[in-house]
Order: sequence, then C-alpha cells, then structure tokens
Amino acid sequence: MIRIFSLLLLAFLIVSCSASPGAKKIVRFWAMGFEGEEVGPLVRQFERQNPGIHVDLQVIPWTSAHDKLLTAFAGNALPDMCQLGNTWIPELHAVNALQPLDSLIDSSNGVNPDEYFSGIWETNRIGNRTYGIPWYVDTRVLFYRKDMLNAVGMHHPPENWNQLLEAAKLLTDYSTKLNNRKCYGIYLPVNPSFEFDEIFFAWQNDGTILKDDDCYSNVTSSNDSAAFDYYLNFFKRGYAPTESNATTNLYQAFASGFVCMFISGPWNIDQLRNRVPYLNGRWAVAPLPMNKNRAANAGGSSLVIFRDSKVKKEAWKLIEFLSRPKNQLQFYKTTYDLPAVKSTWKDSTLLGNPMVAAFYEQLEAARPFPRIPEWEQVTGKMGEWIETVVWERNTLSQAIRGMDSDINRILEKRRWLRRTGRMFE
Amino acid sequence: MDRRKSAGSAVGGKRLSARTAVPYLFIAPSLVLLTIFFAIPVVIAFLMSFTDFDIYSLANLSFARFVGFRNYANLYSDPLFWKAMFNTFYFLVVGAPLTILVALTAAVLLNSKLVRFKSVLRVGYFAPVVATLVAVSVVWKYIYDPHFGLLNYVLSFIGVSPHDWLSNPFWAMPAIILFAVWKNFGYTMMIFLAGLQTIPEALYEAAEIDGAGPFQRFWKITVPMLAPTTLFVTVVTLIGYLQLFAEPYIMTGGGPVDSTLSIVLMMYRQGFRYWQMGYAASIAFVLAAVIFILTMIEMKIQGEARAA
Repeated sequence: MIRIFSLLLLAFLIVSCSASPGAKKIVRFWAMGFEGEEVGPLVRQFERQNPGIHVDLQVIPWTSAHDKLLTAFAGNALPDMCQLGNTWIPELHAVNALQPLDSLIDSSNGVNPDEYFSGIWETNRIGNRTYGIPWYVDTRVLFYRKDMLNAVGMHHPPENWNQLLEAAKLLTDYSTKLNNRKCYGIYLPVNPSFEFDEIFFAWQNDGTILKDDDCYSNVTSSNDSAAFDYYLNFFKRGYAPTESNATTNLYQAFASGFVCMFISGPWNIDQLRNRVPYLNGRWAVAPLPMNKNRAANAGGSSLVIFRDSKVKKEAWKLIEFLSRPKNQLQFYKTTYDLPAVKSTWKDSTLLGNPMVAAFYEQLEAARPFPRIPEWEQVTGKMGEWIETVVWERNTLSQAIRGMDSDINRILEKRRWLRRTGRMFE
Repeated sequence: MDRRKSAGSAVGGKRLSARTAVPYLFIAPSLVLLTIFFAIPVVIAFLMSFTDFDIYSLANLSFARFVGFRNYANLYSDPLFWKAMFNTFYFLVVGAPLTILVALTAAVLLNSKLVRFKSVLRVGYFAPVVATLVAVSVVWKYIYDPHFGLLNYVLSFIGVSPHDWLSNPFWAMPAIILFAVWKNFGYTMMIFLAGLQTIPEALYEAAEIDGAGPFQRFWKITVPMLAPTTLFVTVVTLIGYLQLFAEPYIMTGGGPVDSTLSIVLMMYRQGFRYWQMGYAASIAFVLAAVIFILTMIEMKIQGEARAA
C-alpha cells in the first residue's frame, strides 16, 4: 500500500514540475515511450516554423501512461495535448476530459477524414463527435515461416479459418519431427486479453461480444461461441503452446521453429529483422485468414487536445503539422509506426514493401473495439475465462455462462446511466 | 492544583495554559500530516467502499451510488476473491515460516565464532533486501526460464526434467515463494542477529559446564531468549506477506489461471486498472480486518506462551 502510495506521490511530483520559459505560447505535449523519444526532431522543426510557440514535450513510459493520465486528470494536471492509445479514448471521454475536434476539422485544410482508414477514424468517434486525430496506426497480421509452410506443401499463406487450422496441424507435426521435441504450429496467447485476440475471431465469425448499444453481453450467441470454440481448438489439439514463456522469447521461438506462426503487429517486422537476421527471407507476413470476414482491431495512437487547455489553437497547429504526409513519412522512417494518412503510403518504402503492404490490406478491414470505458474490464474477464478452458478447469459452455454473467454485471452501471439519462455523448 | 492556579484563568482552569499547550504544539505538525495524509484518506476510502465509485463518478460525483454492503456481498460471492485469499494464505503459510527459518539459521551461523569473513557474508545475505525489486525479479524471470534458465540447468544435473516454472499453475506460486524468501530473509536475519547478541554469554558457559550439547543449548537457551525478537519478526513478516504484490505483479501478472493473484494485486487491478474504486476499497478493508485479527491472535498466543 505504502509502495503504491509513494509511486502516486512521485508521479504527482513529476507532473507538477513543468517549467515555463519566455512569453511564447506554451503547448504541453505528452508522448509515450518510443514515439515520445523519436518525435523530438519533428517538434523542433515545428517550433522553427512557428516562432511564437514553444512545445514542452514530455516523454512518458507506456507502462505507467494509463495510470498517470487518470491521476493527472483527478489532480487537474493534464497537459494541453497528448498521444493517446486509441483504446483509451472512451475512458478519457467518460470523464469528459477530451475536447471535441469537429469544428477544427471542418475548417482545417490539413486534416481530412477521407484521408484516413475508416475503421481507424471511427475509433476516435463517440456519439457524433470526433475526439482524436489518428497519428499512427496498427493492426494485426499473420507472421509465418515461409520455408516451413513450403516444406509441408502449402505454397501460400493460409487464407481462411480451415486453412489456418490445417496449416497449424501440418506445421506442428513437421516441426516436432524436425526438431525432435514438441513444437507448435502457431503461437496464440493463453489469456487472449493481453493481446486482444479473441474479439477478432468473434468478429471474423460475425460475432459482436456486446449488443444493445454495448449495454449487454452477447457471448452466448452462436456466432460468438463458435468463434471461442475455434480459438480453443488450437490448444485442445496441441497446435498452440500453453506455456506463456514463448512470448518472452518469441523471436527465438519463431527462429527455432518452436512456433511457426503468430499473430502480431507492425513493430515485429523490424524486431525480427534485427534480432534474428539469419532468418531473413524465410518468413513473411500476410493479412489474417478470413472466415465470414477479415476483421482485426484498429489500433494505434491518436493525438488529442484536452478540454481544459488554454492553447487549443496552437495545439491544433501541431496536430496539423504532424499529420502532413511528409512528416508522417519522416516519423515512419524513424519509428516504423505505420502512418495514419493514406497518401503517405504511396511512398516506395511502404506499399513497395510486401511486408508492409499486408498491413495496408488488413487496415482496410480494421474495426474499432466497442468504445466503452468498461472494455478493458470486459476483455480481461473474457481472457480469464478462456484461460480456464485452456487449462481444462471449465468446459467452454461453463466459461461462456460465466463470461455472460460477468460482462452483464460489469455493464450494469452503464445501463443505469443510460436509463436515468445521465450519460452524455 | 498549583498548575491551574498559575494559569490564572477565570473559567475554572479549563483553558489550556501555556505549559500544557506546548506538548500539543510539538506534536501538531505530525498530527496535521497524519490527519491529512492518513486519517482522512482512510475515512474517505471507508465511505467509498459503500458506493459503486468508478470511472464515471470521476467525471461527476453524482454518478456514484450508495450501495450499502453490496461491494462486500459481491466480494463474498466472487470466486476470484476467494482464489486470491487462498493464494495469499498459501504464500503466507509456506513463505513466512520458511523465511523465518532461513533467517534464523543464517543468523545463528553468522553469530558463531567459527565462521570467518562475517561482514562479507552479512553484506551478501542483506544485499537482496536493498536490491531494487523490479530489477531482481527480471533476473529471476531469467533464472526460471524453461529453455535457457539457470534453475532448470542446475536441476538437470540431478536428473530433474525441465519445468516451466512461472507459466505452470502448480509451480508458479512455489517459484514466487522461493524468490520472496531469497529477497526478504536478510532483513529478518539482521534482527535475529541483534537479538542473538543480547543473550549473555554466561548462560551458554553455564549450560556447557552442566553438560548441555549444542542442540540442547540452542533449544533451551537461544530459542526462549529470542522469543520477543521472534514475536516482532513474525508480526512484521505476517503483515508484509499478507500484502504480497510486487513479486506476482512483475513476474507473472497474477497468472497463470490466477494461481499467483494476491489480494493486493486484485485490489490494484480493480482500483487502478478498472477504476472500480468502491470495490477496491472494500477489498482493502477486508484485508485490513484480516491483518488486524491475525495480529491479535498472534500476540495472544505469544503472550500466553510467555505467561506460562
């Protein structure tokens, strides 16, 4: 308790120590982790073009960003603008901290909604308002060992659910024999909430997880439960490992053939190239195998302005600056974060690269998670239940019943706010 | 009487004299700080535990509802809470005696005249206590690694097949306990060492003359003479271990299948990840009650043992 408290106190002290030089307008900008470290040169370029504005950039580690934002909100210490993982927008919207940007977008000649992937743009909209501008985007694709897939006679990546299951089976057998120890066709998280995988499988089967304006659980529906069943099949048949340590050493595991496929995001292209360079040319990425559709999550970060900011106009200028295709491209080249503005993709380093092109196709099919602040709790609960089935503590139907009642309990507050007209949009 | 007269007050000496006010002035700063940073938050948290305070209430206080004892009732019917309770007690019941035993052994050995390089060993045993928990738990994560880990490597010499320590629901808690014992026994050992040094040498000499062997001397002199130290150490370890948090938070995240989820970790998740502050507050008060009851029982048992 004391430890948690002192951490909060420390966070508070750090937050309250922002300097303020000169008579320039100061825009306080929080950026997270690697992006925060790499955005510096662009920010300085912006300052040179706009001598009247000083940007006070603060880099915040991803791991503490979420807690810090909400404690800063509670302590009235939020900055003017911020990079926000787009799944956090509903939470900060629920506390009414975000500035709607619609009028700024309407009069802007730099930011045009048609220039963005629609699924990504949607993650920033709640009700009829837009609260963030996509900065970089992210979704999930299939990473696979091309050489091993060829060896088992599949000369293209799995394109649908049946082929994925088949590929996992063949690769499991092949790699186990080759390495003379138990290996697996695919890595999938045992507790999918860590990587949000279960919902894509539900979506791909036209499931929705939630229904009635995200006020009730829908996991008992046949589409949802069939998707869970499909996911669990990989574990039941021994095609996916139950030991989670495959994640800490995913690159090694992938290189040694301990796992031959996994579902992940764009940062792993660069990671694989650098960490296991000897594997180059023997792996590739492909859009996710589809069932009824190819949905995956619309991830990434957006830039938002906080409601209490006194320099909204200047902050918006910085957002417009960071959204220019030229600057988006420069940012891509230092971070490998995929650009949110579509015209940036025309550059040869992007669409000319088959690895990256797979993401473009997948992004066109991306969808936002349900935009409710309870989502993290919902997905956490689902993950816990799924994990109990993997470890054979429950049957799938028991787990689905448990999930259903847990999710409905979590959403009770939301229903009450709705019913009594307290929810603002 | 004298004092009242010297105050010279007209209202029967009820007003504070300068002399009686002085001590209050001295304790005022810490009293004020304690009230602001301890008493008030505790009272607020207690009230909060009877509401459904959550992220919506952060925006508008009127979105929090008074729910009576519902948080406590939900806690009672939440299987995860009982799982966390079980895990915490598992950790306590195995970990605490083990820590005290290892600490006592180390202290007795270090106190022995036969051991050389005492200060080096003392520093070595105490080093894990002052090492940053986050850093050493990362190191231990590597030690426990199923493919490249040191532990599996060492065990392979005695023919033990490799285990996936941290991602196996059965082994994860023992692995956490082993780590916690290593991390914490140094502190307890130091207190035991201090306790050992207060035992008069004459007692041992007398016993030796009467023909007591080393084991008899240990059981009949060292152990009873250390009783007050043991009480202190037990209470401190009990309170500390019931608040198990950082070890599973960093090493396992409470998994696999919640096999290392502790009460405090559950509270942290509910409070700071899901913003269910009301529910988290009710967990905090249940934990406080458990610690209070256990400490009372502990004091009672030790008190009776001493009286007997």
